[in-house]
Amino acid sequence: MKINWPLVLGLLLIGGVIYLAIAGPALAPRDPLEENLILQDEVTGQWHIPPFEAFALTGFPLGSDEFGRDVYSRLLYAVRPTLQMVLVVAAVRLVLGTLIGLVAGWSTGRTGGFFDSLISSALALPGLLVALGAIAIVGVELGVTAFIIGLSLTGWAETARLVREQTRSIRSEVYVEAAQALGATDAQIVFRHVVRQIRAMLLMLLAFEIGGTLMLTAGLGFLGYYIGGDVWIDVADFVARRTSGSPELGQMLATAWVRLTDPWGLVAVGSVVFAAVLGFNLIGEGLRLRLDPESGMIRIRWLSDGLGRLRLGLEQAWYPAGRLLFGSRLAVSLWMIAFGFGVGYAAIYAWQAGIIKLPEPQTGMFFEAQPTATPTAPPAGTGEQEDTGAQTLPTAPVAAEPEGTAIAASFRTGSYSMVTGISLYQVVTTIPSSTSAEI
Amino acid sequence: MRLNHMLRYFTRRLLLIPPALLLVNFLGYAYAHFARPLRAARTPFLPFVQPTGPLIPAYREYLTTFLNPELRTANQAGVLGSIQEATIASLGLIAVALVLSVLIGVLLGLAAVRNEPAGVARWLTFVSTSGLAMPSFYIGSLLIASSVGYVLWAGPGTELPFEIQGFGWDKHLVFPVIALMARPTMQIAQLTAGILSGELSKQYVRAGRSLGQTWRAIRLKYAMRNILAPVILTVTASFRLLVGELVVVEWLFAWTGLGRLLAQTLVPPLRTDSAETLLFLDPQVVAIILTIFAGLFLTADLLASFAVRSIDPRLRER
Repeated sequence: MKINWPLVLGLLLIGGVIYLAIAGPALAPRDPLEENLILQDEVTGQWHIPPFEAFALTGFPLGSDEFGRDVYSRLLYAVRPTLQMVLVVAAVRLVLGTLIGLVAGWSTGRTGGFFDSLISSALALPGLLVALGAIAIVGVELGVTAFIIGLSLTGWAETARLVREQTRSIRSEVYVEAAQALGATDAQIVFRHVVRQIRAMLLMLLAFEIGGTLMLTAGLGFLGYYIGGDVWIDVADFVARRTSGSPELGQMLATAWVRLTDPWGLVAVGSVVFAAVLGFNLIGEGLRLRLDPESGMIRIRWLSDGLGRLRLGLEQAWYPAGRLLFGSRLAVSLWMIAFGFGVGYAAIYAWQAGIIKLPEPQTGMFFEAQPTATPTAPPAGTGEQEDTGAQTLPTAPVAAEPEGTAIAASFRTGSYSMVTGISLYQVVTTIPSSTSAEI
Repeated sequence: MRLNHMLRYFTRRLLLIPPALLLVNFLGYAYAHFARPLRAARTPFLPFVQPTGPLIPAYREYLTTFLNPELRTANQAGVLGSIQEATIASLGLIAVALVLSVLIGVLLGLAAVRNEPAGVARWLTFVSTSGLAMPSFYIGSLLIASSVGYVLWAGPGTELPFEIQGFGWDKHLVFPVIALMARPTMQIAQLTAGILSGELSKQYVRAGRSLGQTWRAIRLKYAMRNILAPVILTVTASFRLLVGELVVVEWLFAWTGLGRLLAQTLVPPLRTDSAETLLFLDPQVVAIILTIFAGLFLTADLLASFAVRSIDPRLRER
């Protein structure tokens, strides 16, 4: 027996990514939108201003972006929205590709020629450039719809090509000829015979589609097009700055690399994208091997037989309701997905209830956490700040906190106003220039 | 007769290129012409931009001034100069990356094919699946991180082994080329191995072996000749992939090429007071860059068709 290693490894990787998508927000030590204008490391006592370098400040293992938002927490939050968006886009691409492929493969004459040309043209265009152009005109304000439009304009082509080849090969089979002789219509033959034959292949194509879509989404995000992008804040008179709100993997790729000498955040986010794309591609490859009769891959019999017996037992025990609930592959798949989600959420609740212990999040470095009676004095050499800057240091963040919260809240809703928004830069500039390095 | 057929085919293809480029140029211009006002309402720096007039007169004026050097404004001359420099920078990058990816990809593909029984070694599946799953910006960021890590490890005063930002035909070229060629290399390796493995399982190979031919001779004399045409088509597909990746790689490494210029025209800049705001959805720049990309694709396609038809006599009549 040959073990289907690509499938096994792919499922393991995707299991990890799905776990992150489900449990990520619960595992994050900080609010991903919480901004920190200046922080003191509770271990070393050093003061830091954003962007915090990776590994430099306790509690910020991957550093921060330029607003002092924890990259690690944002990463844990980012997987879920990206995965949701990618699944939707990949499903749309798959459906479009399958429909166009079926029509192109089944039709002959001018219709067939037209769809052939359509597929060839779509394949010839680089997906990233098309998506970039489409989203530039539609605008990311449309949210997922903008990405569905941008990534689906030509993204269906590879699926359509493969479905077309399969459809053509099935079309020449004897049983199709027999069905035609018996008076079956084209639509009947396509849905009863062709779609049933290619059904198994579609699952493989979906896996590849998800991987491809994720890669394109990451590329778009890296260039600056991500879900909920284009939030503008005033930084000076008549000058606004584009920034990001809720975390998403693409957005993080665009904003994680703030300093030339500190690319670790970009590497960490890129690694999650790589693991996810690799996982989906390995699943696709594994499914391809399973579909190939010459590959010698066989099922793990005890597992599939056991699951089959369980399904049959449940179906018979609760007949006739059991037939509806467990009688089809679709129903069983839905049960398995529900089971996966159930296990994930049970794990989160167990953690929240204290049944499972995880390392406590690092906290206690905020200004409000500083003891009021003995405020931590800035290090030597910044004496002037005690008269001017030092007064601002403990008070400014307290005053800025509601503003920061308001900005965070407006980032969530995407409604940050250029008119009312007080720039973070303005607050930062109240700190003496000597604090631009570690104070 | 065959020569006439080939000649007619290529003349037809060549004649199609200028109208295709003109169409792409018009579509690019029209796209930016309509996109700019649409985006204006939602982008802080665009409301100050003058509203554009009807498309056809604007396009006619643009064509007239661009095609006639005497009528060009200083701005247009500057734009053309920048695009020329960017084109040279990008073509150099593409050429080096393409040559290396073809060489390494074909060699990897050949090395991964087993002779008997014909098949592809498992290591290539994992290498190519991993390579194809790596976005170019991720490869680039790994290279940058390793450089930064090396400098931090070596201590103060250490120079970067290779430049991580900017343009230059020296050490600057190394990282962008590696990031750009990684995925096309894996694609070429995977497909070369697949095609050669299919070829080696054919009857004529068995016949050649029974007649005492060595595997080396069979591969070089027969199998390679037969797979050359599909490999060339694969290289053309990889070229398209490479050009698509160009935008991201040039953006990451601040390589002043066409890809970066295109990204600057399609992505709003970070600050409204940046000089790049002038480029955002500029119809003239978008039209020219898209025309150059289309020209590259069409030329590559034409050259591939020519090469494939010269190599494989079965395709000449098509």
